[in-house]
Amino acid sequence: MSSRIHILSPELSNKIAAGEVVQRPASVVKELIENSLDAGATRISIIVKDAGKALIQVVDNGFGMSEQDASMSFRRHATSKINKTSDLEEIRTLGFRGEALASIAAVARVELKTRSESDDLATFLRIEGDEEKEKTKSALERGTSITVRNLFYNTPARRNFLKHRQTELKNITDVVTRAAVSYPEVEWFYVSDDEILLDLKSSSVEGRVAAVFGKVVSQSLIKFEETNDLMSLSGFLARPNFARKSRAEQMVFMNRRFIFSRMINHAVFHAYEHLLEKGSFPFFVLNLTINPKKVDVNVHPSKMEIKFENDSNIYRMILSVVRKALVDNDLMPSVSFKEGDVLSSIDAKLQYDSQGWKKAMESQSGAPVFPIGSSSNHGLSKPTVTPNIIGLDEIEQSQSNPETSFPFKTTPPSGNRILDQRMPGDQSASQGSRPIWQVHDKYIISQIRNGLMIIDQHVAHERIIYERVLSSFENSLPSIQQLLFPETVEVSASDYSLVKELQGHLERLGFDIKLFGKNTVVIEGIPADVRIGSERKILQDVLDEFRNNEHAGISDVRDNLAKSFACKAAIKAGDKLNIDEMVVLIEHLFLTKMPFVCPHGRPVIVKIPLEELDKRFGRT
Amino acid sequence: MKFTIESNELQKVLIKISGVVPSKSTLPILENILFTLNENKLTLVATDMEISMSASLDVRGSENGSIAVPAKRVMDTLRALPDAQIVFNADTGNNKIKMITENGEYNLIGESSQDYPAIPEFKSSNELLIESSVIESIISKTVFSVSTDELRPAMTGLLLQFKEKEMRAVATDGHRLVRIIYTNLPQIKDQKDIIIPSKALNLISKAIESGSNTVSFSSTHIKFSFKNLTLTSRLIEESYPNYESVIPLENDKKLLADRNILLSAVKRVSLYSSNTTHQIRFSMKKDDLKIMAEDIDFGGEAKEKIACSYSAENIEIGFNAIYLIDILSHIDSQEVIFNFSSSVKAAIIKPVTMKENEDVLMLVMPMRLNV
Ligand SMILES: Nc1ncnc2c1ncn2[C@@H]1O[C@H](COP(=O)(O)OP(=O)(O)OP(=O)(O)O)[C@@H](O)[C@H]1O
Ligand SMILES: [Mg+2]
Repeated sequence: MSSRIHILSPELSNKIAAGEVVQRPASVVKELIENSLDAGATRISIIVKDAGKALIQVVDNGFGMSEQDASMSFRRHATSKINKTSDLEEIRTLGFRGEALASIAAVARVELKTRSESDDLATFLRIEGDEEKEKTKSALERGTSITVRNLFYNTPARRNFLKHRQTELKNITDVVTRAAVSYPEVEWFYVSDDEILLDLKSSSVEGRVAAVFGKVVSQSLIKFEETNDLMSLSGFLARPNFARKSRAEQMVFMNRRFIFSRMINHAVFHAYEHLLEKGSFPFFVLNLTINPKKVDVNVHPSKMEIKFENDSNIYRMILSVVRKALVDNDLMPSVSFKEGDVLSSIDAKLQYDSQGWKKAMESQSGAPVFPIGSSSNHGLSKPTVTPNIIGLDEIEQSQSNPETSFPFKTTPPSGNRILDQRMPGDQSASQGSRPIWQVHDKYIISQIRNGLMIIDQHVAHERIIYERVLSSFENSLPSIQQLLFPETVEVSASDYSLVKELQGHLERLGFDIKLFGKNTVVIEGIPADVRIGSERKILQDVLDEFRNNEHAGISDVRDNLAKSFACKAAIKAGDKLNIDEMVVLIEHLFLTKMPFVCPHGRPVIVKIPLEELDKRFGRT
Repeated sequence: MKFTIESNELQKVLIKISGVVPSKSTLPILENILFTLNENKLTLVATDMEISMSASLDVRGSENGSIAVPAKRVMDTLRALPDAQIVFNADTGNNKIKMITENGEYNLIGESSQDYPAIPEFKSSNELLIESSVIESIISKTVFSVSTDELRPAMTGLLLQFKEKEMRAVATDGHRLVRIIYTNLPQIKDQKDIIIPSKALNLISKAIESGSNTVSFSSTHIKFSFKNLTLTSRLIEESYPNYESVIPLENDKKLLADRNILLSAVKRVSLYSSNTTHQIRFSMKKDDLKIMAEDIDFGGEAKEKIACSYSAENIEIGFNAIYLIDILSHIDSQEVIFNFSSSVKAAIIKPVTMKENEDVLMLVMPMRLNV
């Protein structure tokens, strides 16, 4: 009788264990970098060849190892970082398992050169499998250099399993980039096949973010920071117009460890609700600092997943902090002139000042909208971005008579009845009571408590219609104005089938459409807010826009339709508005959930604070 | 050129024709009014190239001549002057103009009359003699529903159709329509339909004088001649949509109500309608009309009940309040009749009492309430 069960040879079991830790070249880089950071390095170089398959070398100036430790470091479960079980509950280093070097050595040819402060000479080790093939002494600055060659040379299955060179290299670059963002004080030098990919001097967090992501992104970032007794949260959020089509550029660090958490991502996405197109993702960098006792990082071999003691507290805190940051910034750019600027470069110099509107919001609702940091209750149960009715109140009522409050020629009530069709015999209503002007038939300028605001009439109307359409999809039924002369429209075959496909949605939107075959569509009714004059073109325009959006990656049909319709039905730059129309537009704008950004993420309102004007006129 | 005139008399005439002057034109000369003196007759001409107006008045002339005078400047001056005698003196050589009153002297620069475009002449193919009151009534009852949609030029004017002893005036913007049929007119020569731009009509209604007037027209132009004033306008040479085919004949649900009561109720209720759609609802039961509105955006709703006579089945129908208010305020009968068929079909509104030889029909497209 022979036994079928036996203990695996150490070599084989090491290989199996290695498979968990070292899945691809990027995992090697990640582990080596973590070791360097744990060793207190302030300069780390990473050199890779053939996307890490031929060579990975990580050199640091950390505290190094003695000869004895150097040999020990390749043993499985050998670590200097934890001692007893209770240490596991309070991990303060990136590594803690004592597995990384052993795992790497099991699947590659590794050389180690290291010198600690107290040693005169460095130790050189060459390891293959779990055997020390060579051990010598040589000279080296304090620190450690580890060279990994021929990764997976002895596990062909895994080697063959590797992805394309670019993919593997991108994975490595991601690993290095994340570490560089989390450790801005460290100098990084990263070379791939003799090409320098990163060369970063020690800097501030902002400096590092700018260096890594580029000026354009970094200038559009909103910085935020909040602390309560559970944790502290800081980082950067991108304005919605910098949203990405992929989830790639979201970075969450927990105690400086890059982690991936669906829960945290969701909390941030949730905060961006209504600010982003479906299918695009906000760029953000989030640093959580939390008592290590409150989290468990020992849940996955990659050390990238974590478990919080209380998920929902974290979720709420992140949601409300991010939301607050977004609201504080109003997503309402205000203009700041730097010395020597010319007025024409206003929009190039967008800076974001939230004071005026924030105060207004607080004074209106009686309390700050987001009570953050109150120790008992993190965040709100349902923090809503209050649809602020403040818009028009902020516009100062002018006591003076109409003639003096409108020093400029205001647009006469033209036949262009866009938003408000003037009530016969009701001319007086709002005429002249508010200081509002239209300039270049494109922007609406109004005085607000703390300066003046400029509204882009097209995107403002777009936002209004967009939300109207979404809500008519959701619940209320649209108002359909029936047409006396039904419009017979000939469309292309593909548009015809698109109309057919969208017919139900188009009806909820407010179109009364009959399909007559032979690519002929008859429009018998149109949404009541379609401008007189665009009835004829509106359907074709919406279809065209719908396709454009589809190409641009908007996959949600309703969202796309709402955007397309909003874009095409909205008043355009160049449309003259009378006072009443402007007032109605502003009133409705501030009824929307997000008056400051249009459905595509462009700003709707720009504010110029009084101080800015004062400065400009040398009144400071 | 030199003449003397009372400031308010000159002003009165200028007001009538200055409406033609474009405020901003690619042709700056059009921002002037052409003054021409011939003995004791001063003729003023304004044009925007589409519409031209000319008016004449008696003055005490002393030196014939002609000059283009900046319209806004001269109007502003006259408005600011008390009633006073003005001596108007223009040097047609250097285009310098002097207006002299008892206490003041106002100098302005004109332009040469040579540069001012001539009023188009056209060969009229038809001529009508119409009472001013009829012209006024046609204009006031129709022009409000003319379209402003420049993509449908035909509908931006008033359609006039002639047939034997009948003339039809039609205006529509695709959401509402007015049709007035005048019968028992003197026999009219065969005439193609004409479409008069609404701007011309608005100007006419401001300038009209009582009495009977000649209207002459060709297929390209129309000219209204009053005693001291003429207006010539280019016609809109487009084909008008077939409106007759969309006027329903089968509207059998009749509602009879007092026009004034209805109008003021609609006005009140509409204050509570959404200010983007202006939607109000009519809900009709036997001899009972309920008018309702609600504004979902800002909150608020209103309803009113109105006595009426109605005997057809219950029906609910939505309207743009503005269209109804427009229509009801342009009907001059004590009572009105609504003819409905369904909540998605055109509603017809007619005055109960009409002038002899005048048949007024107004129509409004509903707003659909439910899909
Ligand atoms: N670059 C380095 N500088 C100094 N000491 C190092 C370095 N790399 C490794 N070590 C030492 O070798 C030990 C083993 O490293 P290894 O990465 O295998 O395990 P770990 O970091 O403790 O845990 P983990 O498996 O989670 O990474 C470390 O605990 C550390 O003491
Ligand atoms: Mg390690």
